[in-house]
Amino acid sequence: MRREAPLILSSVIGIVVILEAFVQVPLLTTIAKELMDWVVILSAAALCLASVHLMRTHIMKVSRRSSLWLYSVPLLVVFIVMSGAGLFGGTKAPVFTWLFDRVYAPVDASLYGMYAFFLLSACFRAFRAKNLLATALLVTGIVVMLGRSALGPMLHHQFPTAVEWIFDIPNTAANRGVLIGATLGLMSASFRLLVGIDRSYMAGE
Amino acid sequence: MLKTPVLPFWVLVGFFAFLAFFIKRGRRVDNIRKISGLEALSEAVGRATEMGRPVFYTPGVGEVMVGASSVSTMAAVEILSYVASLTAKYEVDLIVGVSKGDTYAISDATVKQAYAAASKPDAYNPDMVRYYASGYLAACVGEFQRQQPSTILLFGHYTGEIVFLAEAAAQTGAITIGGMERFNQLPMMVASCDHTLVGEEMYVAGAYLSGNTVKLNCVRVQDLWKLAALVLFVAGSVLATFGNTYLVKLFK
Repeated sequence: MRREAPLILSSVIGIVVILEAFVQVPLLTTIAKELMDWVVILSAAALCLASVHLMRTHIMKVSRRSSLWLYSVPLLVVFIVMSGAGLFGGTKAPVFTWLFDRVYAPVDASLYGMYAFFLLSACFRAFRAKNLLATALLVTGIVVMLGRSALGPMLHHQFPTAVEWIFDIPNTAANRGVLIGATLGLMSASFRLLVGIDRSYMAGE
Repeated sequence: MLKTPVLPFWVLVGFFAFLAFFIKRGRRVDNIRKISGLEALSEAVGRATEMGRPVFYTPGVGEVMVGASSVSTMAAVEILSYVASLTAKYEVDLIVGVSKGDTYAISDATVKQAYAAASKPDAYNPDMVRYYASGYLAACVGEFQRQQPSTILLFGHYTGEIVFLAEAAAQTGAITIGGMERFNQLPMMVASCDHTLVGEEMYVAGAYLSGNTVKLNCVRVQDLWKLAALVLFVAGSVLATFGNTYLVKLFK
């Protein structure tokens, strides 16, 4: 019963939520809404579990003076200060918003500011004309880059038109092919989860 | 009674009925197309064993319980189960980087179970699965630099961070295998990773790696429906060219 109960529960809940998306029955809508609220509660419980693990791991690292334990000290300090500010003052408290706006947001923005450099480096490696497909990628990439920049129309007036054609025809066709395949894969994976063939949510049972 | 147009509902019912029929018949599936990314998995873990360096795995930034990313995250957890069984077998260090609380809980349990199933419960260490929360991206890139994993596996749901992860992974000289379902981020992954699972390949990974007849029959049905979609595409295009828009209207 320890194995069957979660399977039955997940199957019933899954079927109810799927049916609610298609069928107009008020009772079904109420049940599905209630279930979706429970998802948020369970998700919050899992977040607590993960936060406890995070704290435990880093406290252990500091107390045992494991390798790179110094990195754990700022993490613990920031975790305690940020959680304390949020728990006692709420997310609108000046300390919390100051920490978020003046510390978290700039650090996050500076990390994402390096996006272009990482992308450039990835393009440099990917655009090597090793074979026919890689050459096609290289040529397409050059045409799109020129078409989207000021230089393209100066070289030839047809560059923007070529870019539009690439986006509207081959790109859309490939996009739809992948999308249909992915949707069918999603349906198949959902079915496996619903009927209990795939039990990855039961930790590899 | 029906909220949506009738056709999508019956397509869904038909798909599930077809799946149930094939699963019940339970014939062995021998001729499944080879997926190079999945074939390379054991090779990549073997390389980590030879080099004595860890394997880094991340199931993406999606949540298991909430949102459209849940199924792809589940698929990533299924692949994690296979990878953990390999690292347990070859006695290689495994680091799993997680960004969401619910994904952490399920990933930790999966790794623990995989080590137990491989008769190596003592080799499991709670520090293997690491919860990075909102510092996920910086933490992953930092782990790549400090731990120098020989194999980096990126599966699941990603947004813009995939460029950083895959590129930082490539810069360490590690073998990178990735898989995701989002089309708009897929080109970045293809450009940066050594092997990539595209679209539905990630969803079938669990079935493919398990070799389970029932799961493989699901993949077969999926392929048959893909064939049907292709036929409808061609028929719709031909009919529309000659002015008949019946199929186009039917699917609107």
